[in-house]
Amino acid sequence: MKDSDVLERISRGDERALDDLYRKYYKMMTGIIIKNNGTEEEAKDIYQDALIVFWQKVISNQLVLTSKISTYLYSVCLNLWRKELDRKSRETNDDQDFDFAYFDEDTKEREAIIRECINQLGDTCKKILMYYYFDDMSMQDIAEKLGFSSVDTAKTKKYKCKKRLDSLVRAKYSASDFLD
Amino acid sequence: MANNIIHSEFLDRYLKNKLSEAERMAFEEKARQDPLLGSELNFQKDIYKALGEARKNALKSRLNQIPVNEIGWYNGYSIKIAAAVSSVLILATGTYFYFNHTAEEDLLSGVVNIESNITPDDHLHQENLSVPVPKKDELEQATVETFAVEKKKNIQNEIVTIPAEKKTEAGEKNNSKALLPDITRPELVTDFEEETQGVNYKDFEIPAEKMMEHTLYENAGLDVENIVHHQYNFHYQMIEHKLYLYGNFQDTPYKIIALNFDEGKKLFLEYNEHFYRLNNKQQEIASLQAIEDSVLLKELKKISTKK
Repeated sequence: MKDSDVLERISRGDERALDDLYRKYYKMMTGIIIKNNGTEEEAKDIYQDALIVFWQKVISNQLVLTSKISTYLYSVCLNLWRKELDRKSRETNDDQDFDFAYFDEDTKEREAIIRECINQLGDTCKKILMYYYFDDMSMQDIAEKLGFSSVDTAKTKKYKCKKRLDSLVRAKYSASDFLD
Repeated sequence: MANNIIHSEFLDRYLKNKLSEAERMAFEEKARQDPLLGSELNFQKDIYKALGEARKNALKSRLNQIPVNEIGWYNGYSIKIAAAVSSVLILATGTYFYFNHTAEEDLLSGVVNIESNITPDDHLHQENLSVPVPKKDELEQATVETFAVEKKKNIQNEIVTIPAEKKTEAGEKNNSKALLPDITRPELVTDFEEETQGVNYKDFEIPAEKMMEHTLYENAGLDVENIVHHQYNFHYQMIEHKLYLYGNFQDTPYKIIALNFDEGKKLFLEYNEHFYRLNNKQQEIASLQAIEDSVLLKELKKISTKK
């Protein structure tokens, strides 16, 4: 599995390339976290996050890779782990009551509402919106991946799906008084 | 203003951070002055963020379905492992002939004995490895002579040139581990110390049972391509050691399992908790047939779920 093949496969949204990468460097990357005082579960979580960062950057053409994929993943893993250690350190040092005082219940509730609304969408709608907004795939690629007859069909579907999601969220926000 | 913006490409570009600095600042300034637009912008940011989270969770769920117990042990270190596994395969095959056992379980056990006349298996050249070819008289001594000679030719054709410094390094390692063949690792990441990679080569001197756990390896060294076809929706074909899977294999992870029988390596596909036989020589497109042999199924399940 050459790096160039992986990049090419990810660029066209082949999620199995991510599976292959995951398997290939699992031991190496999780080993780094574990050696730096992480648990196996934390290591797995960080490694998955790093892979997803890599996935998003490649698929949205934001990454010009000048090193090996493993080197890139290694540095992302370490950065993410450093951040996590910082967060844990702050959590330990800060006064717990202080945290609670700034605990934003509203934000959490809004997030939960949107999550629920996304789950109410059909599978195709969910995929279109996730591919468009997170993966930043072109409408052409989305049309091909989801088997739409044309780019225009993909555009129309994206428009309708987004409109439906907005409506669902607005309705729930209204019911929860978020739109007052 | 807000209504025009909501479903515009401009807003999408803003959310994706694709506006120029000037455009972004101007837009945010406008949103500050127009409370309705400001509120709408926050609403859209929340949705954008949630869609991202949903996608991340979907990808994480996918990755979480990939069994990790049997992976990583060999990844990146395929040469020595491949050599070790090959020796186990050969030994297991020889043991099979010697004791004339028929149960597949017997093939999955055996004593690990890493010999110098190791002959690499198929997956070695899938990993682009360079493997020394045993001398003819050594081959004759091998338990599975025909197998070894056939592979010799293939391996010679697929040797990969590697940088001189790596060859030297590999050679040094070979001297210190005389029982392992001189194999180089072109795919190995050189950015980390061996220790960081977490591999202890002593691991190879381990009980046979543990070794055989790893006859289940990543895609069995196969190059796999998924093809969506209107007519073939659950089919496969094998061309030049590349597996073409026809059908929707995008959404559910699958696994290729290699088992070693007396007549050679056999491949199986695990998909949606079912197992399918893959014929190495299946050049025509054929439908995937679920395995019904209960003994084989039991063995496949055992290997697939082995912790």
